[in-house]
Amino acid sequence: MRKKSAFSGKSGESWFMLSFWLIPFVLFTLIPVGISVAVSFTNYNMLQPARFLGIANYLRMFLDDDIFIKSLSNTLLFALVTGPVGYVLSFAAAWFINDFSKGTRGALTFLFYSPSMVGSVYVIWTYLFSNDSYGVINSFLLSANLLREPIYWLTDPSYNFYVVVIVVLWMSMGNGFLAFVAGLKQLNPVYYESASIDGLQNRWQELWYITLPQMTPQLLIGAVLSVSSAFAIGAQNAALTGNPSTDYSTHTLLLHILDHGTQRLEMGYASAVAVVLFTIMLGSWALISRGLRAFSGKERGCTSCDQSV
Amino acid sequence: MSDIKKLLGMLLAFSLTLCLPTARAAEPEPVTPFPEQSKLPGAEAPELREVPISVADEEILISAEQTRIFNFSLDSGGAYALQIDYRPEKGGHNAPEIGVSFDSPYAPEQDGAFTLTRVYSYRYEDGQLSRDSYGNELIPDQTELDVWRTVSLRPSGAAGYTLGSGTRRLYITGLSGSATIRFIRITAVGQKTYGQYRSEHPFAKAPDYSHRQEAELSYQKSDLNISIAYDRSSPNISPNSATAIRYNLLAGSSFSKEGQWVSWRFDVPAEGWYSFDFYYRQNVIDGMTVYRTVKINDEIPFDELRTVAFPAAKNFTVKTPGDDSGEFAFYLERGECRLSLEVTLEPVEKAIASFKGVIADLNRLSNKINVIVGETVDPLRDYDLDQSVAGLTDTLQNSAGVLSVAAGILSNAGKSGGSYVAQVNETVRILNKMAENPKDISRDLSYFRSRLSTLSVILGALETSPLELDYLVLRATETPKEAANTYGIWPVLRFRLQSFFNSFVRDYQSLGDPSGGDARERLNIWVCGGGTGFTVGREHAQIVNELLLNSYSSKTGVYADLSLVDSGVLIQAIASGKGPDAALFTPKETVANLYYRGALVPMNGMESFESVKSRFAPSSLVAFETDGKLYALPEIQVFQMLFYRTDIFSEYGLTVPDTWQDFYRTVKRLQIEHLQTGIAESPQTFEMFLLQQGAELYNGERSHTLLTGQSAVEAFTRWTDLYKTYKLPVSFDMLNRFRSGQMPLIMAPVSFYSQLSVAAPEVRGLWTMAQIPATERSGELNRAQSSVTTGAVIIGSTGTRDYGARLDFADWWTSTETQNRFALASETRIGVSSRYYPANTETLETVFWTEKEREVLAGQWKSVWDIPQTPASYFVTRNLSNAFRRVVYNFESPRDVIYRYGQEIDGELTRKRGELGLD
Repeated sequence: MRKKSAFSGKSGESWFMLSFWLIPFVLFTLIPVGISVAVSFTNYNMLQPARFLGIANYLRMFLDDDIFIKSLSNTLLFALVTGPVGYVLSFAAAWFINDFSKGTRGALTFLFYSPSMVGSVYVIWTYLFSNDSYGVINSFLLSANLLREPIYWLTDPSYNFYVVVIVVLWMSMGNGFLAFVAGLKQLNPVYYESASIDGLQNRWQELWYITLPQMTPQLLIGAVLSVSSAFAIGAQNAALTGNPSTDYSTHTLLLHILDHGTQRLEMGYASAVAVVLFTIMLGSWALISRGLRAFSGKERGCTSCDQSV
Repeated sequence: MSDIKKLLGMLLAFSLTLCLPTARAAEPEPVTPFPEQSKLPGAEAPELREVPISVADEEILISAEQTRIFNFSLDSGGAYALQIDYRPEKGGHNAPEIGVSFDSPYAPEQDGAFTLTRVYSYRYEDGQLSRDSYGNELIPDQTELDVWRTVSLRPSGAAGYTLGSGTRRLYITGLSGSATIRFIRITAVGQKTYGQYRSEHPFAKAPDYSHRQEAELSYQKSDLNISIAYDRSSPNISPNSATAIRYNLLAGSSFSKEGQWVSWRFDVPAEGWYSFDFYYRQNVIDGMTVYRTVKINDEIPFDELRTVAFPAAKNFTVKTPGDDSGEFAFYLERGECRLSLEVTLEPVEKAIASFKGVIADLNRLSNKINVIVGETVDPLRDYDLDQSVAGLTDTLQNSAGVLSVAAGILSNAGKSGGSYVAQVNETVRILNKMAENPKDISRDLSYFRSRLSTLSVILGALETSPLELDYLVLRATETPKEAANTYGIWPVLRFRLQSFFNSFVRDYQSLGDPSGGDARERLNIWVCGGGTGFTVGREHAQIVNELLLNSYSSKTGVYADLSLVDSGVLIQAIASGKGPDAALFTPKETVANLYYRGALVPMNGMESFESVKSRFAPSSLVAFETDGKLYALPEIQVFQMLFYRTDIFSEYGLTVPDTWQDFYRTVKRLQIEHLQTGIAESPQTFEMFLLQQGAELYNGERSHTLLTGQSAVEAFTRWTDLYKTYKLPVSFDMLNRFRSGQMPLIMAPVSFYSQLSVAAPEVRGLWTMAQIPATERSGELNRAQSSVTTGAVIIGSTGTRDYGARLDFADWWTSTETQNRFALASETRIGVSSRYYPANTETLETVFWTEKEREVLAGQWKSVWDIPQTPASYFVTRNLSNAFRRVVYNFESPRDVIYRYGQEIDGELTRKRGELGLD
């Protein structure tokens, strides 16, 4: 009997539908990642042929590169601060505006979401935090006699980290926030009614026992987006504090990769750092999804909760 | 199917509309019948004597700062004009200026200065513009004509100089440039009205004649900046094409400054009375009427032609000079006739002079107020300004009065009563308010400052008198006049549709000539856009392309495809194998990155390499040389100059500092007056101090830096001291602080000149450049500094191919002639914001600097040097900034900091050299 091809019949149709996403994914994500891993074992300056180096790049990265350690610590700090904090902020904002009427809610959603939507608008913060004594904050503090000389917000290592944290938090209400807003709308009101009959005492209980468990998919996607964007912070830092920033104070892994790739023309080393970043992101994603799965329900006895995670 | 049918049907209907015949629009205007030879007003005025009195009849050379005195005698008093026949001295592009005065030496405030314009013309091909292979017209070259020219000089606002009878003396003082004068004559002038003109000439009816002369095909013009442009929006602009670029206008914004003139040549078929019509548009400045002086064969036939008004017009319209009684007719003899239009500001001269005076007074006042009030105004204090600033209320009230009068002149002269007059009136109001309540001035201060800058903007607009001309018509007076827009709605729509469809088919962006040359010989050239100091944009790439086609491809048969790219893309493109053959305007850091990785072809293989090398300032070659090989030919070199406010310096009796000791003294003196000095934070300042100490950044083999040495520590300390000890501001906006007067002394790249000229018109004439301070060592002054350069590079790997064609191209591109033409085209087409800073030593002469400025620049250029590039140069810049900030923000010891960071740089340099196999 003629062997049926794996692509015929129903599964053939599925492959066809999938191919619209799969082919670009393979071409533009999988293959470049593979090439990157391969290049990370070489020395490649883009103009001359690559030389095989073994794991020299990795050794150098972990043992000899102070800036890598600094950027790793900065990235983790940013991820910790903006990841969970941004995440909680997004959810809190979505939860607060949930009770407004549709129009007001829409307007507020737009207000919160727009910073992340518009792309480079964070540059406006350079006017607020400008080094110039005529910058908005500096001139206010100078005229209020709280300062005698302007503070160099963007180039002083003691300050620019916090400036960037503020800006990143401001931009953190992105797609995760939208997911929460939408998710809060599809909650089943039956549970709230029955809970209030059963003696629900306050909003906090309502949030913890009813709202959150039903929102597990949104929480997960929000977490994934938040984590991946936290590790990929770099563009805002460069735009605000320069690339590289003074003494690498706001240098993140992404910027480290860009620095080695485009400024120092050491593509091999940059690829190695990229592989490390990739691993960290994969690892943290795995951790979070496992954690959220644990949170989603079985341990808290919610048998009818959505188990699709 | 039915959808497709509908679509086809629509397309068919559409294409039918393209076949519509063109319709002629409204009937031409009715002709004023030629008036009888009747009595016109003023026809009975007495005959005026016009025999000129010769003052000098030999060739005299008048140069700057020279005065010549001539004696002559007059029989009777009256109004006289001065006629001078001159020829400007060859060389440079600035027209010489002279001052004229009678019976007393020249005094700038009272006597008039006159510009003796040069004469230029476009080089047409058979009277037409040449075209490229697409059919697009090209802007022709311009040359200066070496001709004698006669001008008639009168004082502004009057018909002539009022001179009494007897022996008189004429003083001619050279103000700038030099010219040879062949004769000087004094002619009596009187009011010659149109009526008198008419009565002087016979009545002769010219045959029916109408000839259109395109404005873009001019005969002569007064300066290089007057250029032609194209407008493809309507077939009413002649000539036009829906498919190709046709230059059909004399560009309005380029024909706008006082003293500029353009002339056209007509052939008159028979003697008789003729009229001229001008088809023009003035849509640059809203609502403004512009004025021109009409001359026929270099003479103004009658007084009414001194100020012919061209009212504002958003669309092309026709102007025939005339007055209330009808249009003017001119008596022309058979043969050649030259018509010229000269920009005149006579109707608003008084307003302009008042504006200048008021702005100067208010600027001075503003400076004095700034000194007391400081950087941030406290609106709750009143500062007792009326007591601390002398003459505060008087100045304010006088200025308000003068401005009201000026506003009156403006509204009479036909300017838009709406916009300028209203703004001036608003300024008058605020000045009066400030004069009445000096205690409230601190609250009104920022509004006052913004009104002051509005006044400067209005002044700039008043002094600009743009007129865009499409074509001129010479017609016999009785021949009917053409209407301005003969094509109606449908033909215009059809034209635009054709243009639209053509934009899909024809490649207007292509900067090349695909039909020419052998495919093997086509060069792929990239122009790196962006850049600091001199920003390279689309227009520059177009200029390069035109130069290529006109003077390179036509002679060598080698054609090129030009693209404008970002320099960051260069390395990645080469990596992917899609790099260009050559790149222009490459920043020196990119050049270094490329040559250390073997991506460039050295220029040493060029024919006559030594003579090519000698074109450039030696300092511009430093960044491009390594191992005895030169990897790029320099194009731009930008270095720093001192910019200072002459008005503020003279007010405090300061002179521009010569050495660093002087500089520190000046800084302190300015600080006492609550004024600042500025040097932008940049490692270039460190390089300057290092070079001025006679030290180098790298050792001979460029294998490690000398940053841990004594000279570097000294230079670093001097750099950080500027900000720590002398408290220069670290972060500031150069332009705004300089123009507001808060920071009257700045060290900035020479390109700051362009920025100031364009963006700060209100301080025009109040600032100038000087050489940077020098370090004095054992009696010798060292004024060295580093520079920012760009270069032309050739991409390739050595030894594999013959790069002859490309080397040839690089040789041609950096040749003096090509660079001269590029510099010229760049500034004349785009303006002073695009002034070129060449590395080619001879090209500096071509750039439109005044003599004084050129002297200062050339002087500084001699001292300029540069720091060589290494694979770790990026790291040097980075670490120097970090080190600087550590010292200035945290007050650490400069010696420790530079030692630490210097060692880091050395480590990186060693690593990089190992990586690239340089050790």
